[in-house]
Amino acid sequence: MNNFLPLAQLPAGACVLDLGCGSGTVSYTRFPQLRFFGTEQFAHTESGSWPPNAWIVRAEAEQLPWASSAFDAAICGYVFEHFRDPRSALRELNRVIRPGGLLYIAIPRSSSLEDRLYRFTFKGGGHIQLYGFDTFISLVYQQSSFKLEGMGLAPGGFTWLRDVPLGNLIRRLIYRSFRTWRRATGNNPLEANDYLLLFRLGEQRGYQQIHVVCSQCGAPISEYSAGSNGLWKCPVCSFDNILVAP
Amino acid sequence: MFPNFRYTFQGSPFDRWSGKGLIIESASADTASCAYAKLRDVFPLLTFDLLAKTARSGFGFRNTFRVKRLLGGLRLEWKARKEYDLVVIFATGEFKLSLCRAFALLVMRPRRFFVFNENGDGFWLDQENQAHLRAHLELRYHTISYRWVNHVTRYRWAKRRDRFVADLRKLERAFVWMAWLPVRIPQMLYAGLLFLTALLLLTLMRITYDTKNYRFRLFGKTTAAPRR
Repeated sequence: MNNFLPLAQLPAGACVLDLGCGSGTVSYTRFPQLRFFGTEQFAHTESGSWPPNAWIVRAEAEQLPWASSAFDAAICGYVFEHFRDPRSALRELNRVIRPGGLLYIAIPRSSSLEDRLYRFTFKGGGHIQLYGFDTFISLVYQQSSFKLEGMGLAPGGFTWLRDVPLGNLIRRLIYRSFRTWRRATGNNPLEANDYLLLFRLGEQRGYQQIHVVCSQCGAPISEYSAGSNGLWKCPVCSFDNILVAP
Repeated sequence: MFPNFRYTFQGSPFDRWSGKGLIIESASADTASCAYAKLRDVFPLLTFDLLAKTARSGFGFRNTFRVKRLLGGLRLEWKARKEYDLVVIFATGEFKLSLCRAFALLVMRPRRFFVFNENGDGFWLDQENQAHLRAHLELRYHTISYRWVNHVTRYRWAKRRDRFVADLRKLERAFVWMAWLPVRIPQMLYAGLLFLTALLLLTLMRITYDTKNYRFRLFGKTTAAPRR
């Protein structure tokens, strides 16, 4: 993750929001020049062992208790699939990050084998939202002004197996089976399990709803008005299109 | 490339021609639409009818005959064989309406042939314009010059050789794959067995999972809360 979110390049004293921090998404002691503000919903984060540059608050992502443009960067590591209302969370992130600030989001691909196994094992495991790449990107672009700056596909890690009894044994079995499968067939079942996405907050939204497409020149049109004859004129090539309700 | 190519239009009587023209469309949409605009420049006083397989817009035709069945096009040509002053046939090498094209050459009985390309350059097809015809054909079909023939032949043989080598490689890969098959099948079975064992263990976990408290309870022992 550190390759993606350039924490070391942030100026000294910069504020970083760690949304859904758990026991810390990054090692806060590695960046003593930064100030981390962790947010977690559950009580087990109230630990006395936090480093001096980290402050943990119990809050919900839909209502963040901070002023607007307060943060230089935000980290959301595997939390967006747990949100009941990811739209509000994105709007809040859009508010609390300053213009030009960075947002790192990691989400599991819902159709990946690892996420399916996780949901099967934990009977959902708190994964309320199921994302693919396009659905998530369109969600971000609809609700906020963040622009995608970089992305990575991470292989499966099965980190959740550490909470399972005999988890190490199961993890070893899974990895060994996948390794053998890869040797036999040449394809890797662990490829592209998680999306690592880096956004930067832009000036305005990069989303547009395309309502109709001109059947003559193919221009995508957002705003159109049909005349009384049921035709609408393409503003690019002035072709009279037959109105078909989308 | 051909400095005299366009020369044939200088002082030509085309801009005084008026009357009815028929276009037999047998080209792709791009070629055709390009040629229509040029046709309008060359014959500004002619009004055109269009015989086409698909409806076109953007060029003012008097009538558009859409040929759904080929027979309809032939019948139309037979009926209208004395009606048109000019018949334009697109000979682009594409297959569309090719029968109509051939039929039109028979029944329309043109006295003179005129060849022109989609850029509006053209010439009368007669003895005087032999050089033009030669250049045009060379440009289009590469059939005249043996330099082109040699080039094309060499290219084709190279392509065949490449395909042959690729096939050989595929064959070799298939043999290697088949040779490894006795190893691969047990490997796949082994992988499946391992994965099924893991799945079985996970199922056991799942059965003993307390969804209310997010805790596992195995053999009476409660485990830590799960977290990703």
